[in-house]
Amino acid sequence: MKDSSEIRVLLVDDEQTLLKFLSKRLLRDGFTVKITFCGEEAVQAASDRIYDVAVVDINMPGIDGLETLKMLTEIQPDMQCVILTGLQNPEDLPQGTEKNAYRLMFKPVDFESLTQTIREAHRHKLKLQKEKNPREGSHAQDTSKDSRIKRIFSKMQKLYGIPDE
Amino acid sequence: MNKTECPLREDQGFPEICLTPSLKPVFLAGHKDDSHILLSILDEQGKIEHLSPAWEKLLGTSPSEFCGTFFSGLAANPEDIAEMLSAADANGVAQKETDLLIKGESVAFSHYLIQATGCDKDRQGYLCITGKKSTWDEYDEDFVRIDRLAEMGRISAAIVHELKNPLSVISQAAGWGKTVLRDASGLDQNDREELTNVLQEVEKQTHRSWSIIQQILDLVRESKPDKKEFSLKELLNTTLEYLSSEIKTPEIRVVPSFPANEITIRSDYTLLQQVLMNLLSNAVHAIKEANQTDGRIDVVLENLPTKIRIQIIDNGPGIPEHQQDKIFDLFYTTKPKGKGTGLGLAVSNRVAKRLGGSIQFESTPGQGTAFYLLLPRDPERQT
Repeated sequence: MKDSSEIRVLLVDDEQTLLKFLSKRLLRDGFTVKITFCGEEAVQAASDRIYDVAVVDINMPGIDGLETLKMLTEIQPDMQCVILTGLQNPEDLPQGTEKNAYRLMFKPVDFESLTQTIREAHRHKLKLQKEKNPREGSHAQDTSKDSRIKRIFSKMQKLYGIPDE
Repeated sequence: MNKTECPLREDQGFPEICLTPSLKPVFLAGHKDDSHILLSILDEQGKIEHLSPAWEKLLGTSPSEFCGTFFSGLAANPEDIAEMLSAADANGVAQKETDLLIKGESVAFSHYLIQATGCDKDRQGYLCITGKKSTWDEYDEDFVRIDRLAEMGRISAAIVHELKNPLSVISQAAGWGKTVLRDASGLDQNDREELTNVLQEVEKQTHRSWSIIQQILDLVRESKPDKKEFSLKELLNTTLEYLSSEIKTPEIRVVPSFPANEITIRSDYTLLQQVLMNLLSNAVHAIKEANQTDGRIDVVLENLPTKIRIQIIDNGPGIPEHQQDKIFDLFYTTKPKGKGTGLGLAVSNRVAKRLGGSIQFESTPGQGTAFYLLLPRDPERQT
């Protein structure tokens, strides 16, 4: 899957086994995946590394999904968030969820439509970045020295297979 | 005694007594022929001066026979009445639950005693309102039952909701399993096929579980229907198309009968379609189960003066009489194990009610079943 190779996905869900299988399938399809089991972990991950798309559950212990969503986009304004919730209807979601998310998805999610949504969200992110900064590439918002180093390091990590944690 | 109190006069057939304005209508209502309210007027000693007509039905004799006797004479425990009288003297009102002896049997009653005064203030007395205790208890039991059902609904919704998590895992695990299987080398072709089938079955059954969960959650969902205007003919045609694959083998003849003019309705399209799908597929299953070759389903759309009626009539085996009062019950199913969820009609019935309509049926064993979906017609639109 050529077009997913550069997409970095951050998964946030307290259902650990679900993420175990979901991440395996996403990795197999060529995505770069980081899994976190709560909002706090996700926020920590987002301050360490750039992600393109976050897939966030709503009902989680600790910081809930909506709060996580807000914090993630504060740290990385271009990151697109997909809500993946077990709730039944859009009206059951906390107010403001829809406004803050790229898309709402309801469990059970079909794997193919999830990957498609992630790709669309990624394209959306690229488009936004191009509009903002026509000359620069996909990491345009991130120009500080510190994050450049981080970026180089993450590339090396990927190239040489340095483990994530 | 103030002027707002309403006197009742002897020439109206009542003892002369003054009642407050709020009590007078109760008193008069208690004197209509068909009233079930048990009213009595007692003098200051607690002797019966007057009994309302409902007492006659209860006692089986003319109330006048009891006039001049002590009210406590009717009670299984006369002391209870005496206690109530003195409580009314002290507080103006009193309430007591005590049995009366009705035709030799002790029956539970609740009594409300209110102090009353004669119009010329020369006499004191009481108005007593008596209610059969069991009636209250029955109401109470009903409320308890309804409350328990509501609570069970909430709990089961929560449980069902929790099932979503493990099911999500199962379906992702099966998906992952299929990927691993595709990549695996050195697997015997038969084993590969066998494993693929197994995983496909896991996925299929997971889907089935999802649909059960979805239906249960739809059932307890309380959000308002999303109403818009649409053509009922169109809805029926689309719904019948969905069923076209089901009615091919064995072939079932579907005979629509729609009026020439358009019938539009303001309702929730999806919910209404859910109900129609359910009624139609029930008809299909009834015919299929009986292995009939002459299966026929009539779909009749009618514009009645105040309602819209959709009839779905099948010539299947019909519903046995002993099952007819259970078909709307939750989890009641006659389908073979693993086939029916027992949710379809229960949900449809609820949905129809939520849309302001109702579902009725007639069934003759051996001849078929007719379901009627009645929907409210928009009063301003007469198409």
